[in-house]
Amino acid sequence: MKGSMTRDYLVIGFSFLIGMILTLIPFPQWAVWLRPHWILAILIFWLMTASHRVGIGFAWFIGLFMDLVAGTILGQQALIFCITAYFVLKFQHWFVNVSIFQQTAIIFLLMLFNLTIDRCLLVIFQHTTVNWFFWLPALTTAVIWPWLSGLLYIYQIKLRVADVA
Amino acid sequence: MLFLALIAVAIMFFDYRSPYVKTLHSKLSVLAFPIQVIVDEPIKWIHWATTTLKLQRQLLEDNAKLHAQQLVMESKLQKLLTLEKENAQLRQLLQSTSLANGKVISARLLAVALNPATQQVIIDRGSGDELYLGQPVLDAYGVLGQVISIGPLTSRVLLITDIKSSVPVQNYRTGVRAIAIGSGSTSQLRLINIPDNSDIQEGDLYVASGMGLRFPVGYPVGVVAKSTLEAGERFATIALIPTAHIDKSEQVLLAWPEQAAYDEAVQQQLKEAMSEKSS
Repeated sequence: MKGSMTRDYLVIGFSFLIGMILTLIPFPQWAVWLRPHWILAILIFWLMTASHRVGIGFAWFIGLFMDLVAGTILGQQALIFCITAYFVLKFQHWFVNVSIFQQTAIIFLLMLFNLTIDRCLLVIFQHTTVNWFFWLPALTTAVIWPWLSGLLYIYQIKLRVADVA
Repeated sequence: MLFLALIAVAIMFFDYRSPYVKTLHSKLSVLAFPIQVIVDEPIKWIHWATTTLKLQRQLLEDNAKLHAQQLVMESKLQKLLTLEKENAQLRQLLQSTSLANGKVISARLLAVALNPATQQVIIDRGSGDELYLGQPVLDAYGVLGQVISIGPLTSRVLLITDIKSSVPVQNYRTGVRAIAIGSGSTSQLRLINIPDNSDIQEGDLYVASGMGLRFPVGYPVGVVAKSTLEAGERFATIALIPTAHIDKSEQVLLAWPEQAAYDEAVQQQLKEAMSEKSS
């Protein structure tokens, strides 16, 4: 269908906007490390189900924008996002066909991988010492994944994004 | 993928190294402003609602309490005025510059969360308010941090508890100088290179010494919470609790400290020493 592309991007963009709001909402002090990586989870969902719309370039731009929003050094999340996008797209066909539990496990591993890169970059550019709390988002992101992907799936079907996939 | 990854690495490198890209980064931060506002506004409303919908009884109580407080403050101020005058005269006798207070404006912290691995906050003042890099940020109780990036509408503040931050301080009781560095958690600072035999007690107040020509002299920084001397260690481990309400403040002050406590020749020397060190 022609003309549906802009609509698709609007729908996808809106989900990212919600994700960014969830990323920025202040948490109480004890919970700051429990925040799941919303944007990455949403990105992985769209990469899996709408790869003709959301690709590595898209992931890169979202990452760069997140750097601006979150105040990290420019390019940090762009790098992480585009590497993740590469792996997700490479194993896309296998990834969509496994059960939700296996998907959750894979999300957990992907997040650990991301956090490892993130940690290296933080140590290089921000000189932070990083404690074990740092790895918690991998767990929380894995925990929200079944619910988030379910919700996004309903959202996607209702608004008929990427039927062709 | 490889191409984009390389570009990302290049951007990171330049953002870290080149001052030009850094200013570009600060300018681009205006793009993130709408999203920050979307998050911040509802929180502001909720806060407004909870403070507006207070019971009248509570308001009366608060009012009475504040009135009493104001009386005490005013009497203290009277004393302070005479002291200030006396101090100025004494300083004139010593031929040193006075601790003049410069301009101060207030700013609001935006209720947005940043990466918890770094201790930074965003304030709603930008280049339009003539901020400068390294400008001290205070609250009513102590030093909060310094401005590290200035955007058109918002700026980023590095809190004194960030691991990259260090504040030159001075013991209020003994006058001995030290450096307070951040610990990465909002409730603690550490003093570094304190010899084992120095006279530091729990409860000692540390104030900014003004040595870095950055923070206003004499403004409180932290109170000693614990000082541990370990046998065999050359330096004591000293933990400070910041006096500023770091995770509770909403309004903060941006200060333009006009003069440091040292006269111009000393200031010049300090500046030279610092530029030598950084180059």
